[in-house]
Amino acid sequence: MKPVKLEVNGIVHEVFLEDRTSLADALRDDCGLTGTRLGCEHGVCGACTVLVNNRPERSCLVLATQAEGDTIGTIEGLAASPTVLAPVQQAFRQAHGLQCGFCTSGMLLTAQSLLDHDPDPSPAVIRDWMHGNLCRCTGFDQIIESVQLAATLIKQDQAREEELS
Amino acid sequence: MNSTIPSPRETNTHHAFGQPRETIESARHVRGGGKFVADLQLPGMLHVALLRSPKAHARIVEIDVRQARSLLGVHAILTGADVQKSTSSIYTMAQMHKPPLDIPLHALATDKVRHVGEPVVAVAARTRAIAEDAVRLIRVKYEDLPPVADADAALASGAPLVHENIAGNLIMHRQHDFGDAESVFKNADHVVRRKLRWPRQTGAALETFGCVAQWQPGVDELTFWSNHQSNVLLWTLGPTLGLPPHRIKGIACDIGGAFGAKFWQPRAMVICALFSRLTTRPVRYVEGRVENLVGGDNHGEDRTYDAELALDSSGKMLGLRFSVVEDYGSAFILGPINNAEPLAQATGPYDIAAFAFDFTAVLSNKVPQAAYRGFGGAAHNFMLERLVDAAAVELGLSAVAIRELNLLQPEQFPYRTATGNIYDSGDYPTALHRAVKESSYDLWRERQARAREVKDPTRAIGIGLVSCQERSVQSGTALWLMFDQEPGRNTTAAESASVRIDSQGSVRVALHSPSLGTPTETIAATVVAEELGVPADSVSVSRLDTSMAGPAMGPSASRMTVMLSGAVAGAVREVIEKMRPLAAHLLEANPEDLMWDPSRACFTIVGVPESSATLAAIAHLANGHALRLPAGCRSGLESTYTYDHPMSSMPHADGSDWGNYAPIVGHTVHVPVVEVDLQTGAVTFLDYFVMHDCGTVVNPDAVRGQVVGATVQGIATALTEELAFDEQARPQNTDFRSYFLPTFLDVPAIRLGHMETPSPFTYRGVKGIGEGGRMAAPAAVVSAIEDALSPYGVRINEVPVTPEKILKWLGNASAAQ
Repeated sequence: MKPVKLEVNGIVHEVFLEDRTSLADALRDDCGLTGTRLGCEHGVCGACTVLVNNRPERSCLVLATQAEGDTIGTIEGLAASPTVLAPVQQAFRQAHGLQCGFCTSGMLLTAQSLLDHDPDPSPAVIRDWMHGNLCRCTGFDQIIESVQLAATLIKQDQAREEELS
Repeated sequence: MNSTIPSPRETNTHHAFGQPRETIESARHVRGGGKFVADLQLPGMLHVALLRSPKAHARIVEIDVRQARSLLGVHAILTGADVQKSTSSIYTMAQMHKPPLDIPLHALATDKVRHVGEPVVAVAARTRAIAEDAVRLIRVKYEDLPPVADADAALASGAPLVHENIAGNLIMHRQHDFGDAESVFKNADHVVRRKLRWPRQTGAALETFGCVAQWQPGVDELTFWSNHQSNVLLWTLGPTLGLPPHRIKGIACDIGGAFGAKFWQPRAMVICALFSRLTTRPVRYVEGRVENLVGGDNHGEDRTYDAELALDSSGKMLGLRFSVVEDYGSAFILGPINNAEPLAQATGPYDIAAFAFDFTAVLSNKVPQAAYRGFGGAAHNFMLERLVDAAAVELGLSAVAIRELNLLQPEQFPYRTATGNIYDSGDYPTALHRAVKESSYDLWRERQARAREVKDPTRAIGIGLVSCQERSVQSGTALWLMFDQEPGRNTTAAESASVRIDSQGSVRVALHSPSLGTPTETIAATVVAEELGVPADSVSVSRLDTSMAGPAMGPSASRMTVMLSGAVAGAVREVIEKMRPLAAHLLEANPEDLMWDPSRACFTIVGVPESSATLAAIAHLANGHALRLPAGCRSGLESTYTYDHPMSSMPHADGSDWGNYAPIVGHTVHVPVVEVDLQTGAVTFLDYFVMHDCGTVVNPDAVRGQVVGATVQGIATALTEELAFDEQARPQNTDFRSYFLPTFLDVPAIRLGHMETPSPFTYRGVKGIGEGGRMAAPAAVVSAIEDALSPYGVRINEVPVTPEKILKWLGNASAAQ
């Protein structure tokens, strides 16, 4: 066991871990952030996706010690506060982009990352960008529409901000 | 009709149904705030890892746990011998058979292992990692026994026995003939026949199964947190654990998908319970993904059909019969449910008078079968639609024409099928015609004809079309197959709900069974809004644990929308009746002169709408103002209502009629258009259209999600998913790198057409919808691929249709020319 400092959602957590502890386990068991889900622990399903330095990563395949010094973002940090929703979260609710909710954390973070790169993705781009995230419930159509709705909501937010400034 | 919801004034106006609505569940899930079983952290909690058998069939000679026991952090270790000492066999449906079948199931293997992945030793340790380390230090000596790898091997003479007291590995064999199928087949102009193979697949929810057990000494009470679909069945573990059933309490966590695979998972529950008794600590087990796919008691149907359809010279269907051999694996956990359940819709949407079947259930050295979305209905519909397609080809009819000729007509409902199950309602010809039109079926046929003229050797277009039933709202009487001539020991599977209105007029609903993402919490709130008139998003929904829950079964067999809406509506209406004398008191009117007005959420005097008592005013009076209450009234405003299955009926004693056990019947038509790459065998979709009818729609987006999600699972059933076994009964598909779930890139956008034929027997005419997509898509996709390959004479009688198989069939076809 050794101390490891993890910067998650802007807060530095000092936790004591074995070398073999995965980032996913450290986030869930030691930082108390259980919104990151474990679906396969083989790096296939994408449920454990978090943002490491703003890039989507499988937290089941990264050792926690490897993430020391990185900026980590989880689902709990996606919105500005617990009482508001980021546009991508609002869009998944509105367009029914989830059913059981187990893939949703990883799906939202991957979607956010896509929208950061491409503010207006086509369905084909969404399918390509997000195909590393499995969903067993929805059949994907409503997720694709949710991402497109999120793009619209973000643009509306930006337009509103420009109007105000 | 067994069950009626008290209905003082039934109205046809919908206040809340059919409107787009964000789900209650999604508010927590988009924040990562769902509480799944793996998220539970209890003080002092221990974690379980299992040593699972690497062998399909072997005698356990010796188990050495000494090294594992001495590892720091290990608290307790259990072997089969310990389990046998402290529990009796787990109650499975094998014991419901008359006479009981001697197919015991223990939480850990005792004398021998019967499938790869069978739990042999369990370790409880401070962390999961330590428990897994300890498992690696355990040495087990096995003596190999010859494995039974499939149904043919099971039934071969002199086959090794999976369970010593089940001769010939034969669990049960039944033959039934309804409507004299034998003579119908003898006299028919045409008989088409197909032999079909359907291998194992599984729900593979992204969340694996998990549970936490906490034993409380002194009161000798056991609490389970789990992601069981049917945690209401936990009391059945009482005899196994030697506890009075009411001392077992189940708390449902959020469930990360189930699809039948979490219907009933007793083994790990028993292990965690025993560990908690040993250590007095909370004990958690969560399956790893490999454990889930290999040893998780969740595999779906595994069968071979020899099926025949009898027709007259015009193409009118006269009779259906088949023999089916089902490989249930090494136990009989859910009994023959995967074979009994589909027979509620044995003859599909067609008017077929005669039906017969021959059913053989066998044991093998595979993990026991359980449920997967449809309880065997996907394979059954596949069998029937393959026969219909074959008949069309042989008789020179189009896929549309043969169905037009044989579909049940709207005036035939309620329709009694050959087996006695009732179809409540439907309009199948309209569904077919709309599907043909809205899928642009004829345009695709023209495009196919043009493509065939060009004779492109690299690709071929195929169009599939199937019309399928989606039976819903299962009654447990479906298990009649267990009882031969003495049916009726089974539950009719009720569902309960509680509604309480507090002094502020706020409405709380408690579900008595777990909720999935289907989304039952939202449906409950929507029914309250529909009946009472308060906004759905103002309703608070929670789940009762089983210690105070009433009769309930939870989500399975597409039953929740019907059963839960019946229960919630019943409870709301009882609460309204409790409010009536209070409102009359407030309005100084006669109670009989009042009516509840859901559009304003108040009682009004009939004919004097301006004279009203609001929900808030009545609720205030009702909650703790006894001195102001009218005579004969008590404080409190709540109701718990148990809704019985609306149409369940008993099988006839002589077996000639199996009664009603899934009579609320939805319908769907699937039209996929595929392009097959003739050089690689790859299948891509050019279009996919689904026409569906699940009666009155409560939440259109949720219905769409169910239809599309299930259809996509069915596409993967047709193309990629298989749990294969080698000749030593070793599983070949052990993780998501070899068991291929569909991804964003593998499936098309699904276009939907909606129809609503309300059920005359349910609350507001709702029907189930959860399984239909998967019950139809495999048949549809295979139909499309066979259509594409028809110029090459390819006939497809199995799933999954992989590129390798397509190339092999094309190779065989060209070699034959």
